[in-house]
Amino acid sequence: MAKFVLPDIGEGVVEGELIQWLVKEGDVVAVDQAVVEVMTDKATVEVPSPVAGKIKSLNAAEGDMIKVGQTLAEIEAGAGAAKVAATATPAATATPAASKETADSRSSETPKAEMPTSPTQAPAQSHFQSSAAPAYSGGASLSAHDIPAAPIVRAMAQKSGVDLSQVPGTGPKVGSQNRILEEDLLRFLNNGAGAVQAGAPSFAHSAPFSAQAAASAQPSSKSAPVKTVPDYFYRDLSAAPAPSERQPLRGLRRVIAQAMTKSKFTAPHYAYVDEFECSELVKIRTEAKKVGEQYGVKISYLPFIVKAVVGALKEFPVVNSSLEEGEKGADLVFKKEYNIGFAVATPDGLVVPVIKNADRKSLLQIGQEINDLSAKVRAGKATSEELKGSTFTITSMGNIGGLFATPIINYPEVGIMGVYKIQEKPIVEKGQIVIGQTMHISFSFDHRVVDGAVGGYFSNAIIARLQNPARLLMELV
Amino acid sequence: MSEKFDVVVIGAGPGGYVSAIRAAQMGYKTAIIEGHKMGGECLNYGCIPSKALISTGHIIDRIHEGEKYGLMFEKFRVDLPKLIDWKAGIVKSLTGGIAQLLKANKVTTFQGTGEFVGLEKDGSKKIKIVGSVDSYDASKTTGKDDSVLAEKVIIATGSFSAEFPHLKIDGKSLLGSKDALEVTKTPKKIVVIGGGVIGLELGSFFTKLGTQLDVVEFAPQILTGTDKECVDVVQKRLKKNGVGIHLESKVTKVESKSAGKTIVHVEDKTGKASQIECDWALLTVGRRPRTQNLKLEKVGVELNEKGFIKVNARLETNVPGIHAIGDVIGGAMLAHKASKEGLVCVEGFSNPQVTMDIKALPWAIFVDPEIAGVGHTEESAREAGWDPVIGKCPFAANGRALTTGESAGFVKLIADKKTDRILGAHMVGPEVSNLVQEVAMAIEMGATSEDIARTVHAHPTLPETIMEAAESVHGMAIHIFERKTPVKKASFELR
Repeated sequence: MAKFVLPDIGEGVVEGELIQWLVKEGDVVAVDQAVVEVMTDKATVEVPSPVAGKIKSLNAAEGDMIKVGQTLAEIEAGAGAAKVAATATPAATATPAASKETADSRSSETPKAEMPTSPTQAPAQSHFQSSAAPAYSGGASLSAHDIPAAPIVRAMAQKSGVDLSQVPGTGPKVGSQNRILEEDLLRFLNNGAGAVQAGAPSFAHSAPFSAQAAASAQPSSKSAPVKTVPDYFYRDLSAAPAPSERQPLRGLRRVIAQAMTKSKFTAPHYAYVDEFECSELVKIRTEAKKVGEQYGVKISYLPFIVKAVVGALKEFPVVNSSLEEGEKGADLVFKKEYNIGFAVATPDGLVVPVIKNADRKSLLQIGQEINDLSAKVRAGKATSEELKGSTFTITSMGNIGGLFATPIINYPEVGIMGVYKIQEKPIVEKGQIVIGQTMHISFSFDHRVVDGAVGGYFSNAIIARLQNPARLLMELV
Repeated sequence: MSEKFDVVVIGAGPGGYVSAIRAAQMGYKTAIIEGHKMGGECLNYGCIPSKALISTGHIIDRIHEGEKYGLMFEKFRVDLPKLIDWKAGIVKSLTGGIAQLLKANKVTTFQGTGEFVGLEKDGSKKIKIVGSVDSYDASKTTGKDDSVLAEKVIIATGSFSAEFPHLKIDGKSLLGSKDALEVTKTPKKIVVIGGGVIGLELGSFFTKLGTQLDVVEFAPQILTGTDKECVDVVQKRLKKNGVGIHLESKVTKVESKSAGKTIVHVEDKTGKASQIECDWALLTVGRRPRTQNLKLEKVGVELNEKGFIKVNARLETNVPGIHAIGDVIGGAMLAHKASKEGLVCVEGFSNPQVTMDIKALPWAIFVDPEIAGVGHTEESAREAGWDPVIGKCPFAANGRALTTGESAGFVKLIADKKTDRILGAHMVGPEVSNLVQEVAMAIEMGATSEDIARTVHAHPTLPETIMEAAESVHGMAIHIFERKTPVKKASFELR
């Protein structure tokens, strides 16, 4: 009796999900005949039988997680089949989710209706043979391996270079397979599991600096407010230093300490920083400020940033998610609410009040809430309800300064955004040095959930909105 | 200096004009070259004009059987020249419409035969437009000579009626399908050589005018490749109408005796020779790719062993930037296949991942009664790895079919036993050309036969037959008595 174990598939794979048995008990298999389909985090592989013989028992069920070396089945070697040398090593044949070649061709591809120029060097023959597309003689095909998905989903998958067999479907079942819906594919793409670049053609932000914007630059934070120097800078240095003072960690400080530790030790953080020109935003905010005054609302940049974040979260739902560990494994929970937290410094420590359902509120409304919540927080009067339920957090250091910081994620969220002061800077525009208004933004993301590319595109999506506030206006609902 | 275009389409048939309009919509600077008439074979000499005649044929049939419905005609006659004129009017308005659409989409049209001159240094293709040669009739002029440069070329030149060395179409004793559409004198007797789609569609039309028809087919079945059960229904009706069907027979000679008197020499599989006297014979023995005028050798585009242009699933030929679609690449010679390929080809210009990806290609044959199909037959499904089960419902069980006086035929649905997915449908009967699309949609969506069975179908309509066939997959049709044991529907097992 030969034990059929999950062989080492390579690439550091240690386990895989049993997708489908290709044989049943009692079947006679030949050497190298595909026996079972296993999906790893890298690819779906068909594992071949190392021996010829009769399947005595199947020791794992479809849907099980199988470790490398775990027994999948027992095969009675030679039974019912001609004796074949049972020395064949199990070499799994992999179907990579996205081969390197196609990934490369994607990244070099230009968006819609951009005419690729003809390769003049390439000889005619090689083009035909190297092309990934199979030969075609006209007609349709519907094989027993077909994955049920509507034409639009198939077209979208094709265009973004996604192999649909890698996408978990959630649609109505057909046999044992779920139909793959448009949202399944989008989720797959947004999770970074698929071809993010090809799937996100419009995410790159447009030309960075516009001459027009630079020319009309009107610095808002031109003169820094006169700061009074606090007393404690004038201690008498001749006196003997006082002994260290020990205080028990209590209240808000303790909560902050626990939250930060939990976040930093749970979510592998990475930082992402960018800078962009924001003259248009400065202009529109100057106007908005006047409007706000008519309603008695002080309008800062924050409402605009909140709206830009909401737009970007909608584009990248994964950034509005959280990773929840349960007894049966982890789940990615996609939030359908857009509750934006904003960090407020108080004498006792950092507090994050929450603008609930920011996607359904006007800029004016958000501005009002920011004012009200900030005042309540500073007065220590915010209710716990007002401090709960955020799905993404913004921290602003515009009134302090600094180049940028690497904020700590407000766990269990998966991303946080830091915004900094707008300042005049020389920028290069069409070979000329002109004065532009620039802002730094920085992000920390939970790399378990948000890959670097997604984080970058998310940042671009925010910049695209802040750099061109018309885009924000277009998204008003 | 030749004007340069992003996309140049050669041939303005249902593949070419659709490609050109889509290319223009995508923002490409587009030109189209047509060596004969806008609309190609389909609009001028195929689908459209033949359907105009065939639908009139149905009306004639109904008039002849009018007594059954209490309709008494005293002096009924067919004015064939007038009918042909009416058909020409339809063709004219459709082809004119295409010219308008091309113009409105800012596609530049060149009249003349397109031929390759060669590749320029920058990789663009130079194409000469020979206005002095009509691609259908070398003795005619269509436009003036010109030339263009193209970044991308789509070859959509289609196909033409095949001939045999010993059987050449002369338009008098031996007609091609194009000639048969222009006949203004009702023939007494005709012979159709080749019992395929075109031959039987046109041949059947003439029987409605009272013409005696004989069909000579080399294969053991008319409409080779079509579901045998469906063909049987049509064959039965042909025989009832007195049509002589000569299977496994070939025509050795078509002899022109005098105007309106032609002798067709037939030889059966045993070698026994016979003669059929007729007004004229119609040659419909398949179609060949139209590549002759293209001068493909100037750019090195490869053909396959049958003379079709070789392409991959992106519709790319072996030469970068030269694409081909439709009949000229082979496969099913259907207008809608050409159109679809054209759309995919253009979409592929801006995305290297786009390939042909269709699960089902529906088709229809306008014989009497109509036959239509989509997807797998029982046999091809089995070959593709499925475990097919059949659901069938006759139109005789459909109220609407009975009230329209046409209740022959049936709908046969093929589903997979394990998953219940719909794999195909084959149907013969009233309006099946219009019914097949429901199943095509179902296949593309990955629907199950239970999905169709559970979809409410309006009563009284012909599509109810499809719903009943879907129920019959599970042995649960209402309007036919099910002898087979009901197979549980997926949803029944949930309880």
